[in-house]
Amino acid sequence: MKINVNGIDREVDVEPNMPLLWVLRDELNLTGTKYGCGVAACGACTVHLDGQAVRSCVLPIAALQGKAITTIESIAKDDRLSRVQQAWIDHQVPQCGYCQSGMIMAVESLFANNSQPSEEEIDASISNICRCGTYQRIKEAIKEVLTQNQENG
Amino acid sequence: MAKERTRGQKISRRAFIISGAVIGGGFALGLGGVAFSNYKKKQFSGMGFEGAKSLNAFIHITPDNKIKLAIARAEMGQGVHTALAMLTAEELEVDLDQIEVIHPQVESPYANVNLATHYERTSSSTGFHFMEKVAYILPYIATGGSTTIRDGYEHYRIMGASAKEMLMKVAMKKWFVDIDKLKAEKGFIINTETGEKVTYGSLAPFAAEEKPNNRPTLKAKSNFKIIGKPTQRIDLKGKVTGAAEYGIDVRLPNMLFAAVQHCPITGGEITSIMNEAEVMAMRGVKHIVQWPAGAAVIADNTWRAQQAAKALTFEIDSKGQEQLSSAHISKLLKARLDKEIGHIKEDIDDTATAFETSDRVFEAEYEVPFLAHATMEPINCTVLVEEDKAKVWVGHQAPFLVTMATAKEADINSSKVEIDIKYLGGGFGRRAENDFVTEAVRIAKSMKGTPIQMVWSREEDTQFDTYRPAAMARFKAGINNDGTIPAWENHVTLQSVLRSSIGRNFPLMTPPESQDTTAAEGALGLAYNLGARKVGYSFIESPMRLGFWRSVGHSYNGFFTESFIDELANEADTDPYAFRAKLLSSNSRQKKVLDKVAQISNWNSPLPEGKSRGIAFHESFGSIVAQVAEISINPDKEFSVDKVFCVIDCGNYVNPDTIIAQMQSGIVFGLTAAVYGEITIEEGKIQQSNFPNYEMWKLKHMPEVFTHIMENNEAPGGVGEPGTPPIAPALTNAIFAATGERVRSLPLKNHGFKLV
Repeated sequence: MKINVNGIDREVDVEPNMPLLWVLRDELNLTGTKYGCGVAACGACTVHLDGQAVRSCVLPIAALQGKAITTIESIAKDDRLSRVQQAWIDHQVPQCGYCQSGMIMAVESLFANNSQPSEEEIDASISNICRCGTYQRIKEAIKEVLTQNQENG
Repeated sequence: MAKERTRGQKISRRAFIISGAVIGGGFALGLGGVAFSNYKKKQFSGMGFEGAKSLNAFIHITPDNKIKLAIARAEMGQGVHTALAMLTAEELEVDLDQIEVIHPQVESPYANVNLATHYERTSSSTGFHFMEKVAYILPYIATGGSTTIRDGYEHYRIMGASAKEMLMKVAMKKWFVDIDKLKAEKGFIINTETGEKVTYGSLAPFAAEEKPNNRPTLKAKSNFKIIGKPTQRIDLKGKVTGAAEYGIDVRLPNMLFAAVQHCPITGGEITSIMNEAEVMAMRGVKHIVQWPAGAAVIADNTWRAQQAAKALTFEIDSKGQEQLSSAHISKLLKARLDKEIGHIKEDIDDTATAFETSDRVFEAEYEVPFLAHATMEPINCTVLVEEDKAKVWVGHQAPFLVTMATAKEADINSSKVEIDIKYLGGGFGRRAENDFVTEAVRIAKSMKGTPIQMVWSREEDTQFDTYRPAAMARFKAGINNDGTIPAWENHVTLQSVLRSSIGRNFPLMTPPESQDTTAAEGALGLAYNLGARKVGYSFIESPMRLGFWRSVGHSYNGFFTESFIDELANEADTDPYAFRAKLLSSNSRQKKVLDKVAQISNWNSPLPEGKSRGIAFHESFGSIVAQVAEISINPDKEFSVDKVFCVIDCGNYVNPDTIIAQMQSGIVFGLTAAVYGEITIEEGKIQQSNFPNYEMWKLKHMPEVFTHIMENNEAPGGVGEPGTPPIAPALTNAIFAATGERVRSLPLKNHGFKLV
């Protein structure tokens, strides 16, 4: 089966119902995308499918033909962090950090669709779980990106 | 009267022992030649520090002037890699970005003496000396009990200062100048007379031959440039780019993946697999391993292994546990509560007499359920077993247990076990257990020569956890009309965490029931002036596997005690803050913390209709924390936690930014448990399995947390756990203030309260 990950076509020999998460982690060694629950409840496995945030642990590979898959590994361009990633560092968001790949992918997608989401929209769309409880700093980092978006358009 | 050494003095002595023994100072601990008597024998292998010169067991300098710092503490989000590196950087005069953290092997210099002696009240006790020796002999490499900074605060500075002196001595000889003409700065020794400078890296080969000073002069606090200043963590970049490597991310040539299915009945055993041939025929499956508690399928991909493990059908021996239920355990707890206290740990004056002379007597009972850890990274461990050696890649809080368990299960000498400790995707006490390491080794030894990564599914992680115990408490207090408490009794019942956990991990060290120091922690030695006291605990037995859960005994005793204090305030018709303040000694650290939280929360200011506040105060792990929860609640019991005001006195501190993060983290952890947390068991089976039915706090629920750190010059306290205990009672006390409903058992969802 052929999939496009981070702009590169990859051929993988797997069952059509294998979830994307495990193709990424075990077949392509892209381990930045994390396994948390396997039932789309925690968001640790969030990647982008044609720019939209999706939970890869329940996404069968067969459904992904011809679609562009983006993982956390390709968010920084030539070692230059994205606005969201930089805000995450400036606000010292990560603790254990395990959920943050998925968290960042969810937030990147939120901003890609809407550069000025309201607080309600943020609360509604970022339903990822962080067991370390970094939510306050996530909110602060998101606020900073919002401000930057306002300034830079 | 013999003068007891303070904890601070104890740490100095320990640093002396370690540096003396390791570097070759000739200090003998007198353990019959076991550990430190031979000064020529290095106590560390230097594995992981190849190419660098070792100035002591901790500081290794490369020719290109990088500092490789040995840190044998688990980085599980609490920021210890950064904090310990800050301590060394301060004294060694380097920038944080010049330091690379490397987890060393399980070797004596890196023992966590503070954790090993955690429950010894004084550093002059026999128990203290015994545990101190045990710590070095094992060696006791572990992260827990919020001890990292308490253990390392002086130690990591001494290592940095001693190494700097050695570098300076070489520079003195090189330039024929006095030491006061030299300056150390950002990895250079500078000749202040000539302006010449030379890198640490070029001096290190000679410095390594210098005799180390075990008692270097440390900087005065007023001269700190790094310690105590908000500092950016050193592990952030990898954690925002996906590059940070957790145990589950280890990838090795030819590695295979294993999934586990445990016996569904707690305490039961698998006697046979009914469909082995069928499962072996599934795609990618290589091998099946079975043992009493579970079975594993090894396959070429985690998902294939998980599918195959799920397909296994077992014949089981339930060992009579098919009737085990939460209701049954609850009944056992209550029955035990109705009897005399099994182990009285605090017995001050005669409570019976004091009750008789009290104006009134008030009693209440409380209960909390079992809780799971639910680390975001499901339990996993990667192992390669070869003929006479093994290597383990794992995120773990107790590497010494990893080594012991691997050696035992693989039947090899522990010196033949190599470990590679990765980042932990959460620990909270779960990763201080060896059960999953033993399983991974058992699986890997069935295919020697092939590295195998065992990953538990979230369901296995939830249902085969080592739980925070369910517990009950009964309080009885005398109340006088002047608001004083002349008598206080508290009986806590539960199953023993120490006997369960140590019994599994390290049976030889299993304490007797009377010595479970976690059971009543947080119920003993309260700062409140309470008159006559009788406090203790009693145990029940059950097949539930128990473990250390962030803040351990404080997690339930904090809720029990601070709920009851709040009830007494109400009985005395006194404001909850004023009531507590009156019971605390004036000018005490405790009173200052309580007063501060009242101040920053504007405790005495009125709140609009539908909002209320609750206060709680708790000391744990060497720190004092007070919190005020401000909530909104409607008549339908729908509520939100809007703000939390948090004050911590953790003495001398290292990275205030981390402390603020840990307060937020501990508060979310405690709130999650208070509102949702509950593991129940029916017909021997754990009823919760994954996040949909073991619910978690989310972004939309997050209160704004305001943290204030007290400034003083006291010994450092812990910060990873102390933020958790007070928040549940602060919340339920706020609910009482708003509704008049006193919540005496958790979680809140069982009382019709709904978080919105």
